[in-house]
Order: sequence, then C-alpha cells, then structure tokens
Amino acid sequence: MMQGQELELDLQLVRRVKTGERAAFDSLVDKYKEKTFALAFNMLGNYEDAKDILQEAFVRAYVNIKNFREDSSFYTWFYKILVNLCRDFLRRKSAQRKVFVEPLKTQDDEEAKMIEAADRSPNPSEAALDKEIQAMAEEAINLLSEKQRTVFILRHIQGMKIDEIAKVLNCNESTVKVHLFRAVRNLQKSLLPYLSIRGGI
Amino acid sequence: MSTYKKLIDLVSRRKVPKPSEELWQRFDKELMQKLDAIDAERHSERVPFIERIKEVFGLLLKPGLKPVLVTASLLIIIIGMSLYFTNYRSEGLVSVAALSNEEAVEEFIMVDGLIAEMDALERGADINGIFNELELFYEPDPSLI
Repeated sequence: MMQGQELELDLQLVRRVKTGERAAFDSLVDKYKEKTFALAFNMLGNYEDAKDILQEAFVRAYVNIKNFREDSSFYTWFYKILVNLCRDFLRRKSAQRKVFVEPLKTQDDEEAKMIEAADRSPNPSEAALDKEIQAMAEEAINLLSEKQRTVFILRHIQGMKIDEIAKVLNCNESTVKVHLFRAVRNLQKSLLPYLSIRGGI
Repeated sequence: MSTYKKLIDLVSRRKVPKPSEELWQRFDKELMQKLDAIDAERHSERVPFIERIKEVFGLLLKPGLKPVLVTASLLIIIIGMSLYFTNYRSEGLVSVAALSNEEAVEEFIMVDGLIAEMDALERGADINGIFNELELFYEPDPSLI
C-alpha cells in the first residue's frame, strides 16, 4: 500500500505535469516503469508486447493527464489505463494466450535473463519438481478467463489489495473476490495432481 | 487451506523477467520520441490561433487604417446618440395617435382653451383674476387637511 507521503509526492508531480512541465512526467515514468512493465509482461507474456503496450499507456496518461481528477492515486489511475490496454490488446489478438514454460527465445540472449525464484528445497529432485509445477501453474494461469487472470495477477503477483483492484477494474470489491475465488478454484483443479505429488495436501 | 497457500506460493514464486539495459534504453528512447511528438503537436495547435489574433490586431494598427477607424467610430457614436434622442420621450409628451377618440376630443378642447387664455393674456386680460382662478383650482380641500 502506498504511503501517504508517496501519494502526495505523486500528486504534486501530476499537478506540475498539468501546468505543462514535461520533466515531472518523466519522473513519474522513471518511478513506475519497472513495476508496471512486470504487470504488462505478466498479462501479455512477452517483452516486445509489454514494452509497446506500456509505452502506449504512458502516452495515454500524458495526453489525458488533465482529466485525472485526483480522487484516486496516480498509480491506481495509471494501472487502470494499462490493464485496459492489455485486455484490449489480448482481445484484438484473440489468439491463445502464450505459455512461457521455458525462457523466452529472443535474438539477444541477454534479454532472456531470468531471476530464479528462491529454491527452498534442499533436495534437487524436489527443486526440479517445483520447477515443473511452476511451469504448469503458468500454463494454468494462461488458461483462466481474462477477468480471472487479470484479478489473479493483480492480487497474487502484483500484490495489490482488493479495494485497489476494484478501482483499477472499475468494479466493486465483491466482484473482485468472486473472480479471485473462481480463479483459484480453477487453478486448484488444474494443479491438484501436481500438488498431490508434491505433498501439498 | 494449505493447498491454497501452496498454490499461491508456487505461482508467486514464478520467474520474474528482468529486461536488459538495451530493452530499457529502447523503451526510454521510443517513449521520449512519442512524448516529444505530442508536445510538438500541442505547440503547433496553439501557434495558428495566436498568429491569427496577431494578424487581426496588426491590420487594425496599420497607419493608413487609423483615420478610417477613428471616423467610423465617431460616426457610430453620432448615429447612436441621434437615434437615442429621437426615440426619447420626455414626461408629459403624449402621442396623439395613442389617445382614444374621446380623450383626443377632450385634449383638443383643453388645448383650444389654453390658446384662448394665452391670447387673452397677450391682450392684457385680467391676469390676476386668472391666477386667482388657478389658485382656487389648485387649493387643497380643507376637509381633507
């Protein structure tokens, strides 16, 4: 959750942007680009699409900053723009969601650097199993409905609170909870066999 | 619940991609270009409007045009004042056309009487008698005091 001071700083920057100060908007970009890139990547599944959509989101925010009413935080407002663009993009493509089970194949190998999650298991075979389950989890997430997937990513990957997600998606908190519940239930159905092997039940 | 937690834990520990410096440089460069284009477009929208205003003022301030403007302004003022005073009606002036037939007849009788009075005054009629009559006419009714 954003601290009050941080929110106030953002609002000050927004007000400066409204007066035409471009440098203030550049500061907002630098502040949020990494975090929001992760969201775009999680929703779209590849670097280039995430880069393009994130740029588009920043452009839209810059063009429409005068319409920002300051009744929510800047980052909530910006997340809304970004999530809507990602969803529109996915609908336009209307292709099967990409499944990234292995590292992304790009011309530049350096682009495919991954930060490995901490491997909590001292046992190599368990670690391998974990990785396989994780890959299956990725696939299962990709197979969720658009709303369930969005809510799940925002909640459990981006770490947003329910009320924040409700503001981003422009719906009430009950709706968010319903989508989240269904997402988890569907993931459980898909992953139950693997979780059983891992000994999670 | 433990299954739920394990599931969430597994998914949350997913690999987090780290874009390279090269990707970020491209991102920054392309974004700056797009934002610069927006700034340039906004600036170009303002310029024609301001230029048009300047053009109009420039025309008005041309040396040859000044006497024409002054003359035109004075004419407008004079015409306006004339129209105003032409339409002005002082208190007591009544349009005859607005009177009904009976009112018009009464008005003519009164005016005729006034003219006769004036003639009498000019011929040296008893002006004091006329004034006494007027005083009686205008004397307030004692019963009303």
